[in-house]
Amino acid sequence: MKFNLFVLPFTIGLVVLFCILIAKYVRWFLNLNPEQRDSVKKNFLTIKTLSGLKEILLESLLHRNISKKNRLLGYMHMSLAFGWFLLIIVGHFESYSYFKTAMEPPYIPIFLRYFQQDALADPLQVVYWFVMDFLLLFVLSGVALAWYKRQNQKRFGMRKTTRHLPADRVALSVLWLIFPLRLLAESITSALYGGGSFLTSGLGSLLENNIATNLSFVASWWAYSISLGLFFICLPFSRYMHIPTEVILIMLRNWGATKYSGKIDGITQFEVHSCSSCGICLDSCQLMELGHSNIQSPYLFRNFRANRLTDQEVQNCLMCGRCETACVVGIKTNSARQAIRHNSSAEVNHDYLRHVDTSFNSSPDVLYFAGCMTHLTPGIKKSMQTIFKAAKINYALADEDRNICCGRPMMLSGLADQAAAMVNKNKELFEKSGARTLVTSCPICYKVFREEYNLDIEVIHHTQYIDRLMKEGKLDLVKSEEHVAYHDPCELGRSSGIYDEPRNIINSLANLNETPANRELALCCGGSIANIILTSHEKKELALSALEKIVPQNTETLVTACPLCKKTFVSTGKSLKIIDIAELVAENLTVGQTSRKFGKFQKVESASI
Amino acid sequence: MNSFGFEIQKDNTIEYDKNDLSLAAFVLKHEPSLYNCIQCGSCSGSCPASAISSYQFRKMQLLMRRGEIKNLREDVAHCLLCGKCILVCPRGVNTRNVIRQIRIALNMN
Repeated sequence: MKFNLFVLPFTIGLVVLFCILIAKYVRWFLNLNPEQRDSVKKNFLTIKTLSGLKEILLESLLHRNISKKNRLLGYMHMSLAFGWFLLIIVGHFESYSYFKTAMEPPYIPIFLRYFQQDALADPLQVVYWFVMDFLLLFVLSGVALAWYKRQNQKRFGMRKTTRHLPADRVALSVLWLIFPLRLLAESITSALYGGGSFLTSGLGSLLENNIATNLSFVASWWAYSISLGLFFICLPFSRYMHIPTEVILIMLRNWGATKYSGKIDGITQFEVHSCSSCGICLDSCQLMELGHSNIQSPYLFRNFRANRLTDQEVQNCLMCGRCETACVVGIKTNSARQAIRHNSSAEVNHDYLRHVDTSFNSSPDVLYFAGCMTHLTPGIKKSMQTIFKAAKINYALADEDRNICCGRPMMLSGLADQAAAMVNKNKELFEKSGARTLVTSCPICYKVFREEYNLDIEVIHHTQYIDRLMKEGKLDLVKSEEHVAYHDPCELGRSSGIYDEPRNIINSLANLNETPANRELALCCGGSIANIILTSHEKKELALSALEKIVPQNTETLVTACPLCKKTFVSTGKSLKIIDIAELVAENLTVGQTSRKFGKFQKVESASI
Repeated sequence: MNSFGFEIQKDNTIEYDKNDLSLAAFVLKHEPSLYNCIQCGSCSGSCPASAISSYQFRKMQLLMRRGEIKNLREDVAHCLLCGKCILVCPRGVNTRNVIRQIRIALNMN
C-alpha cells in the first residue's frame, strides 16, 4: 500500500469538507418548498440536465460571463478553476496509466510525483510530465494575476474590490500558497530523483545544489498537503463555498427550481452561498457615491452566511436591481434580499380596511389604478384621463377616493404576509368592477399586480396600453421637434422587462436621444421606497447625480414612466422639463381630440407638482 | 338632558415630568430628521390609512414626543408603509423610518 504520513492533512481535510458539504446541502434540499422540489423531480431526467452540465462547464470552469466583463479577469478565474480541474483529471489519468487501477485512494493522483518518483519505460510518462507542468504553469499564472489584482483591480476593469472577513483572508492566503508549494515539492523531487518536465525539472536543477535535501523534500510535501487540507477545511466557512454551491445552483436553475418563495428557504441558501464576493457588482451600486460602501449585496450575503447581519446591510438598499444585472453568477440579489428581510411575525393591524367600499356604479371595460404615487403627481392621472377620453374608452378609476396601497412597499420592507389584507381588498375591488383590463401608471403597482395578485384580468402598464392604443389608431397625435431623453424606471425596465413600448411611443412623438445609462443599465432615481435608511438629502444627491448622467446634451425634456421617478427628479429643482410619458402623449394629442391642450413650453405639471 | 351636539372635553394636561419620554428619545436618536417636523399635517393629509381610519402620523408623533404613548402600539400598526408621507413632507422627515423605529422600540418587528 502506498502511504506516507504527510498525506493525512489532505485526506482529513477532504473528508471533513465532504461531510460538511453533504450535511449542508441535504439540509438546504429539505428546505426547498414543494413547488421547487417538484420541478427538480420533473426535470431531473430531461435534456435540462444536459444543458445544466454545459452551463457548468461554461460558467464554473471557463467563466464565460466574467470574460465578457473583462478578459483578463476572465482568464484569471479560468486559469484557477479550469486549470486546477484539469490538474486533477489529468492526474487521475496519469495515475491510472502507472498503476492500472482506478481504485487508488484519493491522495495518490494528487501526490503522484511523490509516489511515482522513478522514470518508467513508458514513453507516455514524458507526455504526462509535460502536460502536468504546463497545467501547473497555467494555474500559477492565475495565482500571480490574483495577487496582482489585489493591488491593481483597475487593470481588471474594477474600480472597487470587496473587503474580506478574516476567515476569507485565511482561505485566500492558503489558496494562493497551494500551487507554489506544489511547484516547490515537485521541483525538489525532480532535483533529487529526476523526472519532471520544463517547469519542475528546470526549477529542480536550480535547487539541486543547496535547497534540495531529504529534509526539504519531506517538508515541502508536508507543506503542500497541509495547505490543501487547510483550504478544504476553510472552504465551507469562507466565500470559497461558492465553488461547489454554484454548480448545484446552476443545476437547480436549469431544473426550474429557483422561483423564490419570499422567505429564507433552500433556494435562498443556495443563492447566497453561490456569491463569491468577487465584487464585480460593486461598481454598479449607486450608494457607493454616497459613501455607503459596506452594504452591497456581497456584504449582505457574506454577513448572512457568517450570521452577523446588521440593520444597515439589510435595509440600506434601493433594490434597483443594478447588481443583479451585473452579477456574473446570475444571483437574484433582490429576491434574496427580500427573503432576508422577510419577517412574518411583525405586528400590524389593518382591520380597518374591511370598511372600504368596493362597490362600483358603472361597469367599465378598463379599470385605471393610478396608485399612491400617481395621486401625488396628478398631472399623470389627468393625462391618462385625457387619453382614455380621446380614445373613447369605457374606463373607471379604481382608486380615486378610496385608494389603498398596492402592498408592494410593505412587501419590500419584508412584511409580505402582513400585506395580504391590502392585496385581498384590491383584488375584491378589481373583481367587482367586471373590467377585463387593469391599467396602472405606477410600475411598483404593476409589478405586484402581475406577480403577486394572481388576477384573472389583464394587467398592463400605461406605456403598454398607450402603445396599444396608438397601434390600434385610436389616438390622433402630432409629432413635435422636441428632443427628449427617456429614463427607464427600475421596476418597469430591469424588473418587468418593458423597454420597447415606451420607446415606440416616444419615437412617434418626439426625437429620442438615448443615453448610455439606458435599458438594463438604467440608473435609479434615488427615490426608491425599498430604502428606508437614506435621508432626504442623500436621495436628492442621488437624483441629481443620476440626472447628470441620464440627460444627454441638447435635450429639452426628460421623459419617464414612473410617478415616483418623476416626483424624485422634479423635487431636485433642476431646470429641466421632466414629464411622464402619459403627459407627453396628452400634450401631443391633436386639438380635435382633446379639449385640454397642454401648453408645450409651459413646464406644466412638472414644475407645479 | 338635552343633547346640543357638543360635549365637554376632558382636561388635557400634559405631564411631561411623569410621562415616558424614553421612546421619543430612542426614535429621535435613530431618525433625527423628525426634529425637522413642523406639524403641518401634510403626511396625514395624504395618508391612505388616515382617510379610512383613526390613524394620523402627525398626531401620533406629537403624542409620542409628549410621552403619551398609551395608544401608540395600536396606532402604528395601522400604517401601510406606502411612503406617500415621505414624498409630501416639506421638511424631509423620513417618516417611514420613524414608523420602523417606533416598531423596533415597541418590539413589534
